Amino acid sequence: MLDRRDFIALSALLAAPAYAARALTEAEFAAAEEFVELILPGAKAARVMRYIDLGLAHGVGETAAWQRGLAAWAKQKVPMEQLAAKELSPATELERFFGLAKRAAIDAYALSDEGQKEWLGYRGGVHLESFPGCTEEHG
Amino acid sequence: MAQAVLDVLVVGSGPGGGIAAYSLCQQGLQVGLIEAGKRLVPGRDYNGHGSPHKDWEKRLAAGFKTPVSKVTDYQEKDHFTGVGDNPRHGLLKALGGRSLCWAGHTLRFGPGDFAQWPIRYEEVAPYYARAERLMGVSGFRDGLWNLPDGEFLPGVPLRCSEKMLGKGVAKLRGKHREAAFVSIRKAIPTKSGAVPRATCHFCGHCMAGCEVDSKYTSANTPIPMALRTGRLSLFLQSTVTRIVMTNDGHRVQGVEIVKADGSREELRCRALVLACSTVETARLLLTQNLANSSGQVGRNLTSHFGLTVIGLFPQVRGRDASNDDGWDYYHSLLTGLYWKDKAKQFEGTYQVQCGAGVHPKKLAIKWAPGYGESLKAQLKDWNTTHAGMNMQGMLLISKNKYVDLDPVKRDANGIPLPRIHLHYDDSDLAMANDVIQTCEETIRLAGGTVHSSPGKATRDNLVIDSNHWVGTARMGTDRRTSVVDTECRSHDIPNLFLGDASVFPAYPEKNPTLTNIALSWRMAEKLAARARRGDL
Repeated sequence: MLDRRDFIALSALLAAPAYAARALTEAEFAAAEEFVELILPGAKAARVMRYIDLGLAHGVGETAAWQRGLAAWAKQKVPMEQLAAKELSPATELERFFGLAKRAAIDAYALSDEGQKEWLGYRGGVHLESFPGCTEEHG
Repeated sequence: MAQAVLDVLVVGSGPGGGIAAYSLCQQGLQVGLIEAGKRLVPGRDYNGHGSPHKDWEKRLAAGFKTPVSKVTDYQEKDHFTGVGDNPRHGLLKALGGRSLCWAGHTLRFGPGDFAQWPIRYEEVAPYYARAERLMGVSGFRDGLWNLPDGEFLPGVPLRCSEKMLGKGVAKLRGKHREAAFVSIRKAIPTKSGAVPRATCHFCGHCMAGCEVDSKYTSANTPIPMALRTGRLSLFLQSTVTRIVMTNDGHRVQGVEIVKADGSREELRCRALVLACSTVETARLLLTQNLANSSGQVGRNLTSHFGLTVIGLFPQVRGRDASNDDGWDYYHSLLTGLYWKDKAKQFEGTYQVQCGAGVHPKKLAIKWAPGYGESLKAQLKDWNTTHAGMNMQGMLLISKNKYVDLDPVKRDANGIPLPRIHLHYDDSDLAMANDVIQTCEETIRLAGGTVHSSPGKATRDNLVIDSNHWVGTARMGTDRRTSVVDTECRSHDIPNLFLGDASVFPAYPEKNPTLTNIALSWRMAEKLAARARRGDL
């Protein structure tokens, strides 16, 4: 039985045409999807790497930095917990890549329909006759 | 064939130029409105309603590096030289100018703000009222003496975290601080039928350019009204390269324009109104050293500057985050600070624009520690419970801020680029440090925690407002120290008038556009009165 996230991922895959990576190689793209999914679960279904790769192909971000980071990740699968602990004082290529990929992924995920609705609970972007403001009372 | 002489040429179709053209036409004058850009169509040429992911490839292919279609895509680049503390300068060449990309914040300057002007609040108030009716301004009547109420359509209420800030401000007042917390006022109709534009549908894209043209712009209100009089000639994609003077150099005779095809033409007029923007008007005058016997053209430059403090309010945790779009991020205003009790450490006043919630297509807080589901939960929690406080302070007018001409760089027409000099004064830094303290205190008094704050203001972390420059051709009664008189007419050239914010002789914390429009409307009426009595 499909759970909600699987269903969304499957729907996205069926609805969207296959994407051929532009800036990264197919192998790098697949590895990047895996890496980014570990940082932000749900990013793959939201096609976050497609968004990032398209940007890289047009000079938004540095492709070489992604390639160096992915090469380091291919060499040694350091646990995410360890990378996250070093985020503010990265010393290795992979530790620097963690921060780079995380920032790009958060940006891209927040811009996706899936990220906005499933993650953030956003229900905006619709026509309102009036704006109700805050209708609750808080502390 | 003899060249037709128009009564008035208006250069620039932004907030000041648009209203001047309308008023002059309405009073029976033949007017030419010159705009360097073309007409942009809301919804077609800019449309923030689109999906960033779906539109991304198309935008990248078109050369854009940002995911959301905005009217600011059309802003000029490499059009000025900055000197000092990172000056920025927004310039939008399009019919309507920067009225296309303003947030719509419509605040009257108050009686206290006019204390340093050669005209009083009461002189401008009727023009404020008229402008508010034309623009369709929505807001609440707050009863504040130095932020006077206007003729408002229904206001828009606050979001949850903003209401929390309001509670903090109430406690500030309890500590005898002069302060108020109000909903923002905007030139966007909230009630159908009040003005002939669409009613706001609260998508939150005001500043990106309103796709449905609900927000007031020069392009959707005064310019079409001027065209309907049959007395307005529009010169689009036409850049003024030179003001043509009479042989004796005493009066304006017309302007030279360069058109989109590169051809040049000379247009003749009886009077000229420059409304090109504070920086561009100064640049045009300095290029020929016109109207500058005082030596004040380009001087007395000021803008707003600021920084951001973000608070978190656990009280609103768990609420339905559903739709906080509203009418753009900034919905509310911390105001009233230092109106009467002047600060000892700095000159001037500031306000704080406040926003909250998950804004469409933009997270206010983009980073949290960790990874995985806990990272997602933390970012969601912070963004849904946060309130952002953005300082808008008056930049001290001093010899450290001015516009002159770049001695080397020129534009495509060979005109020197403007050079903007910005060096923050100690007073500016002291004001920014006061803002940081006030914002942090407000958040804590409201029961919140400070999520992020600059802590201490430095020349590097202050951000200048690129769209709020005023004051390079100040108004005054003494021709030795000012550029224009109280009618916004040049002291030196009797048929030259200024219709933009360059004439502001002093600046409060409030947004400039409504005052720019009111003053330009007033200037146009006085100009037309002179025309009627043959005194141009």
